[in-house]
Amino acid sequence: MGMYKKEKVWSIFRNVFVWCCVIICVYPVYWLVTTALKTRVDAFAVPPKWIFTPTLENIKAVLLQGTFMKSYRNSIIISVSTTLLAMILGIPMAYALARFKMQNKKGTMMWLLSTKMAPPILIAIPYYVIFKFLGMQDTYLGLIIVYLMFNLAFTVWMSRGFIEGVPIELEDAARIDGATRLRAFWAVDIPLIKGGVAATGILCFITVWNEFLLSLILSGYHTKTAPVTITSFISFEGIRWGEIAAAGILVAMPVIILGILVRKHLISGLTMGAVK
Amino acid sequence: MKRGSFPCNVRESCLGQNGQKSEESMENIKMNRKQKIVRFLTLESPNSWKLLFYPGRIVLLLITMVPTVFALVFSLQDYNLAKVASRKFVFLKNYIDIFQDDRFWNSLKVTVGFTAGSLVVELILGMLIAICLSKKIKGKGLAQIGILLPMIITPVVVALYWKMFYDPQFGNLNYFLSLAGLGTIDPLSSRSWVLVGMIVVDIWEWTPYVALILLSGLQALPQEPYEAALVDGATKWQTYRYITLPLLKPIISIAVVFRFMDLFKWMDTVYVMTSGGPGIATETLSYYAYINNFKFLNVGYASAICIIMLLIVLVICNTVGKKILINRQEE
Amino acid sequence: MKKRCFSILLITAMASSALAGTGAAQVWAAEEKPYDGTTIRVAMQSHTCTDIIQELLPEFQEKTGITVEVDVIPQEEIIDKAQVVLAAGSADYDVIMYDHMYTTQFAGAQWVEDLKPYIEKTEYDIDDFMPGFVDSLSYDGGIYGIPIYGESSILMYNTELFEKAGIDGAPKTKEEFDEALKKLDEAGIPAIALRGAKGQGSNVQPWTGMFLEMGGDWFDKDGKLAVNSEAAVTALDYYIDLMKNHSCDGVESFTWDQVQLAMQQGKVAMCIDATNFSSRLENEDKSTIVGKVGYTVVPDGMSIGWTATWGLCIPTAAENKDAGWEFIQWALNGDTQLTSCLQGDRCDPTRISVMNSEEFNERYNYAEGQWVEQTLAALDSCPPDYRPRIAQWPELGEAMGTAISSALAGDDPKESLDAVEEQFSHLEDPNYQMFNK
Repeated sequence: MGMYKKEKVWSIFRNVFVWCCVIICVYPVYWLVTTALKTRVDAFAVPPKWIFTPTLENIKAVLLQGTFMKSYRNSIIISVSTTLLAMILGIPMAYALARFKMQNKKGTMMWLLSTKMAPPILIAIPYYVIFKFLGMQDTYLGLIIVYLMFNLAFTVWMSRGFIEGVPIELEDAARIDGATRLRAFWAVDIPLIKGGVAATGILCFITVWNEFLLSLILSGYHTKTAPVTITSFISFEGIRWGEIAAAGILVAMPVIILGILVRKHLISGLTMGAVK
Repeated sequence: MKRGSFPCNVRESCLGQNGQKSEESMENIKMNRKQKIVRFLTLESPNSWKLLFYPGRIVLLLITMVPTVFALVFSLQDYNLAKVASRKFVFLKNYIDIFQDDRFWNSLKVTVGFTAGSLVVELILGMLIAICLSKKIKGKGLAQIGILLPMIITPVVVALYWKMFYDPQFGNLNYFLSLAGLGTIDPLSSRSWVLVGMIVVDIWEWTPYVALILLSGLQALPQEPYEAALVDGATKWQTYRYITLPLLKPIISIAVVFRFMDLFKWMDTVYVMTSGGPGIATETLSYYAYINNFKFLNVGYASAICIIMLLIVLVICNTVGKKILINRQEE
Repeated sequence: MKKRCFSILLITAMASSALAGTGAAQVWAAEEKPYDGTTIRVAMQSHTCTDIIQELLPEFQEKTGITVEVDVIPQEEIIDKAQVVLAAGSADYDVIMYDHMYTTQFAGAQWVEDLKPYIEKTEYDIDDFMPGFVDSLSYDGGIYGIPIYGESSILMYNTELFEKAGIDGAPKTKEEFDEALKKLDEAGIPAIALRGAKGQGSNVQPWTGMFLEMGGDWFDKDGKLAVNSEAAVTALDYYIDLMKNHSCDGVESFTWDQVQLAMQQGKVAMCIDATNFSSRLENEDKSTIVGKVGYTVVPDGMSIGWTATWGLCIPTAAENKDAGWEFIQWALNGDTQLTSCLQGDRCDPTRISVMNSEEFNERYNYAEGQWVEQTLAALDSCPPDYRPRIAQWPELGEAMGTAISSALAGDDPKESLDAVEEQFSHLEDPNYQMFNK
């Protein structure tokens, strides 16, 4: 009986604790949504106004501002292209690492990991200089290359884990039936690692989508991405919190949806496949 | 046919064909060459990994090494964008200056303090959340989605939000404190509180990440040791202390290494929330490099700071990280 | 022989067309559209006048055939970006908007064009711009930027809170100001908000006013840096006292935005900040104190008004300099500026004719004309070297911001200032115009 009671208390504690954490995690999103719907005077009223007349002015202002929608499109183009390129280059690399005999695999893996360690400022100016030299300033390709640097290694690490998860017997069986290794890779491995690859892709997408500093320095009029545009609402009249909140939600929306979609694979993704 | 016999066959047949020196060799060699190419392209040859690996490797080498070499060269130069005319090689002068620069040591201290503080709390809190989530919870799916949010929201928005949250006049923090009958605090303008304030932001943003990693580790734990412990009549605490924690050690190390890599180059929230202030109380290495680069235009000096940062992370990850990450993957 | 004749004729033809061109540049441009089909790129700060200029762009495009792409970048980031672009000599932008504190650096490194030849060539009416602003954007006899907006600082006070505390009228001197502080303290009202966050455009601004008014100067008469003088310490002590004992919570991390917000929400009785705050304090959508604001120049003996202006410049590396100049002329001409003032909340024009126009005075008739009157007085008296216009200002300004911020967080004021003096002991500026001679 005592045991049972104790268990009950623990269970209540657990529920309360977890849901408190959830509230803390979700509260800022709630704040952003309400601020986006408030006028400036309401947004800064103390005590906070829990009940207010919502206004769509902020959201309208953001949507009507041509720059924001353009940067949103830029963000999509850059994020999607980087992701695809990382997949096309990265998955074969991962397959080679997983299935072939290669020299110094450990060293290679470590080298791949180290490309993720560089502080962004280290490469900002070099890239600016290089792009200027090549006439690649303010081009999608320039930004895609920079972001590829942070995402290619990640894709390889992740996909390698997934490919190793596919039993080699399945590939062998296909090859007994006369398929070449290439064909076996395509017909056997790829379908099996689809889910993991999708998660990898979405994580690449999120990383690129959220990046700020490099985009600020290396993008230009034509290629500016959405996170950078958000800061342009920090205007001379004061920080336009309503618009920032509205823009913030619009920018966060796709990643939140994608994040929820792949949440099962997210863990292995976030640890580059080190945890499965 | 046995498993894994293909590579053997491939090698044998290759050797066999290469060894032959018959009369129709010309014809054969031609055929061989064609066959070889086909084998190479269809990944049947043991050398096919080159086809798979080199395109990506060359691209990655180009896009990482070229800028890094540039930065390395810059770091050996007296290179100020505002005084390009006086640009020249000074070799290790920047590095020597850095080691005599109090502000560098301050930023190293801030970075280490911030990294350690965030890591410890994130681990403990993350562990608690993970343990709770591994048990029965009402509405677990929804709770997991909620906990996911902080780490996928755009960091700039997160930093702006927290800046407003902390604002002593209009932020919600002091409002909540006053509801609870506590005094007001202003984390961003007091030197003793500001780092705590920034650590709290990081904890908010990244504890969920640690928790989810640990949760996946917890779910993969073997059951047997627990059954044995139950038979021995171990208490709950003892089970955690002597079974769960040791079993979870590799997973914890992974969380530590990955968080460490990010924390060490941390700057987004500093940039948006404090600009390194008050004074230089929140100036991290990344931010110090940033102002050297973009405010003082001293590219040489900033590059040297970044190279030092990179070396520190590389050394730590090569010693600690290699053991944990690579070896684990090999298992 | 024939050939030679031809070339002479050609030269005369060219000369005469050039002469015609100097007559009335804008009209000439409008009729002939010499830059038809050109696309120029302009980097501008996020500011109301930028918004209005963007709205009016079709008019410009129709007149000249020039397509303008405006890249709007926030105040903090635009300078970082501009420095990288200019230093790398890239042709990313044809026109850049920049802070006058960078004039010396940009012009000294020859990153931006001297606009004087352009002004002369097109007979642009530069004399209509307030000379202080033009001066701020000049370097070594050249003009490197045309002022797009400019401000000084004044004391703004909440009349309602003043009444509550029993203060009548604006404090004109330090004694009256201190008296007002006392009364507000007694009434339990936070007296004054000043910028406290660190930065050369943030906490350095209010401190400098006190520093100069209390007898200090950035450089002594030998041209040596003097930021740890007695006056500097007195000013810093006074600034810290105001922030710690007579202000609202959290003021130490206030940027101008939070100072403005504190005023708008009626949290604080006074602020000393940019003259152009008025249009946001007097806007129903943004403020709770509309019609309850008094304006006066900063009290004598306490501080002086600052100078801050932003200008449009043309990078040396730009590809379409002449088209860029066309744009600058149009964007800053009287009509455009007046329209931007009338259509938007934007009361920091740089042209005398706009500032004096009936429409402007009607639109910004805050506190029965008090604001315009006091703003003009402030603009008249602010020195161009409020913050010293030296190439090393970014470093020095950053160090000063850090020192003030450290002192505000509890360090010894004198020691903080000594540290800056020591770090920049090599710094000299023979061109510095002393404020306290």
